[in-house]
Amino acid sequence: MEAFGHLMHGFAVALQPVNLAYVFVGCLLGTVIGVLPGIGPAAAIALLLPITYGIEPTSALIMLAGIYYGAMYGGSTTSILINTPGESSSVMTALDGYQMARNGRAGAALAISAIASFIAGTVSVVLLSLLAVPLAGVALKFGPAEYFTLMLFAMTAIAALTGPSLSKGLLSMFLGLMFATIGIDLQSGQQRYTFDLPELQDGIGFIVVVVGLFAIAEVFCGLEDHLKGKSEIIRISGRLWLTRDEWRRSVMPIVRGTGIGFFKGVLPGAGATIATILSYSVERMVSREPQRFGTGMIEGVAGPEAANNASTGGAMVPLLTLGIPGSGSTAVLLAAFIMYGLQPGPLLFEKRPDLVWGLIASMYLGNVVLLVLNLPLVGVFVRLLYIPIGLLLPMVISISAIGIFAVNGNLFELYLALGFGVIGYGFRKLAIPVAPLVLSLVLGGMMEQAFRQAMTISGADVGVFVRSPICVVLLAASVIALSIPLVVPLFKRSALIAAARPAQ
Amino acid sequence: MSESDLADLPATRAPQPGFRQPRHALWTAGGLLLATLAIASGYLYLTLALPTPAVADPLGPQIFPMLVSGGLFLCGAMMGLELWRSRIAIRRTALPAAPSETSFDLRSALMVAGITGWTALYFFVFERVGFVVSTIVFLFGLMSVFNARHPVVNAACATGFAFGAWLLFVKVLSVRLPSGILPF
Repeated sequence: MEAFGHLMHGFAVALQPVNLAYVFVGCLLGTVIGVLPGIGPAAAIALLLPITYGIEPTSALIMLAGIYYGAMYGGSTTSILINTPGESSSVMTALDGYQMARNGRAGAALAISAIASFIAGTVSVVLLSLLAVPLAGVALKFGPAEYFTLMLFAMTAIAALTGPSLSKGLLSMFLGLMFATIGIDLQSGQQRYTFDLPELQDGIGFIVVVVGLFAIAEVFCGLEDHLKGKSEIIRISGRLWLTRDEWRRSVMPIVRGTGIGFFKGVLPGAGATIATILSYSVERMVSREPQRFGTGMIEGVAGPEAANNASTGGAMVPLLTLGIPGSGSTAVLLAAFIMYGLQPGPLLFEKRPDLVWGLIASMYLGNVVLLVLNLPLVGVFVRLLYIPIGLLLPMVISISAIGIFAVNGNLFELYLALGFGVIGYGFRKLAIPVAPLVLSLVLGGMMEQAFRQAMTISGADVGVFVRSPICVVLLAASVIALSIPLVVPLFKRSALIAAARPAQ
Repeated sequence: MSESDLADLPATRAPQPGFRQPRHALWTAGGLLLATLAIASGYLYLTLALPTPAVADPLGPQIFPMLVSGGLFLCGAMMGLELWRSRIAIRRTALPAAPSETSFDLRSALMVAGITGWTALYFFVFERVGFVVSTIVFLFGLMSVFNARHPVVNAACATGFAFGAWLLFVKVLSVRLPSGILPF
């Protein structure tokens, strides 16, 4: 009942005309930017952050949440139409969505994507509303040692589960932590790794890194593909709406995808990506025609799309209640919170209930706005894809420059972003995941503070990290997350050997 | 993207069935290993060179970076192990090398270097010349390379975007952008 009362108060905030307008504008801009090839939610939020400057924090965050939702949906559009997922969580949608488009069912694929996203997004926000208060209560019991182990778990999970190899995931994570240590040490006031450059005293700006790694690197990759003639555009053809049979086949995948998506989203790590893979695997497993997956099965779009959007609601649970982002996109949202002088976590629920519950209520509205916006405007958004790459991507660099320069008016940060763009391009070529670097850069400072506070309180006794049950559980979870990429190939090999034996 | 891509999501460099990993993949992995060890060593050297304040903090500003550099060395060790196992696998297999899908090629490298240089120049004049003029020149230059056959469209898009963005950000959203040589 307590949550219901808070939620009603949240609706009173979110339904104010100005906030309603920001929800609408956020969803619209998020979709428009998310539709652009290769621009995922994290880059979309980072690029559009300057637009929120000068807006009151509650309204600004409501708009950013709308951008997040919109960009998630926009990314699915590019997956379906040009086989270019904005981020890894849209990859599964591309498998059957793109084939549907090639079969002339692009309209149906986009429609089921919007409907599945709406249902899953709404259900996940209902669950978020129910879980937020109890989880925030638990979070109040967290001390520095618990926070350190929680952040360790979030980082190791994302490092272990996002990339093709554990070592590359960990490399990305440690590089992020390394960049996080640049600047003045808060505890001792000592300058670290600044090379006497005053621009580095405050550390490396998060927006600089995100814009470089996501947006500028994407421009490099996109222009490279364009040069090699790899970017292919499918024109929409056929009936735009779903047939009765497609409706019938989509219902259960949406239900299953929603459940999988929300619970995977709550866990730190590659929540949305793993959720979409799981959902796709489940749909293929329960299907009577598993061999047809990958040829344009609507179940292969409905399930992963529901899982993808349900996980966005799920990912907001640890972000809002613990202040711990579970993905690259929520890490950018955390940075936005910090930029507005707000620290998400249990205390935010007490200090700024209007903001937290206004934001949660705006997500309900965001889902409705997205559905209303996307179904009739599918054809319009798709026109954005027809903008020649050679015109579009150079503009992304200019938008990036505006986004970075607008924060501090600092030219040095533009060069840094360019450097991170080159690093991001290298990461993609070497198959090193970017998300662990982003997450550890955001959490690195807090993690170091929690570590040093815990050690100081305990008199430099490392045992402080195994004394509380919460710490033990989180450390065990970290070990399990790290061992998954090592153990799964062994199981796969055993299964292959077992399968080969009868044939011999 | 085919169904077989499911097996190696999100984006592995695993060879296709029926092929072994090409040798240049090992050189790339070796290069990454060396780079990791160099970064870890450099970071550790800088960490050890940090002065330790006499007061305030019993652990000092070095402790956490030392753990991070330890983690980087651990990554290097894991990469070394993976490289060693890959070398053995290549030596033992009779399969042919996978067709060259090398990610880095000279044309791409030159393209990235060119864009980086042109963008750095754009940033260099960004404040001196101003947002509008520098953006028009930057965009027109890049568009002329990647959308070569349409100079009029390129000029119109570069000019329209620069003025449109300036109006939106400076006039509507009150974001500060350098005016440079222009009076407004």
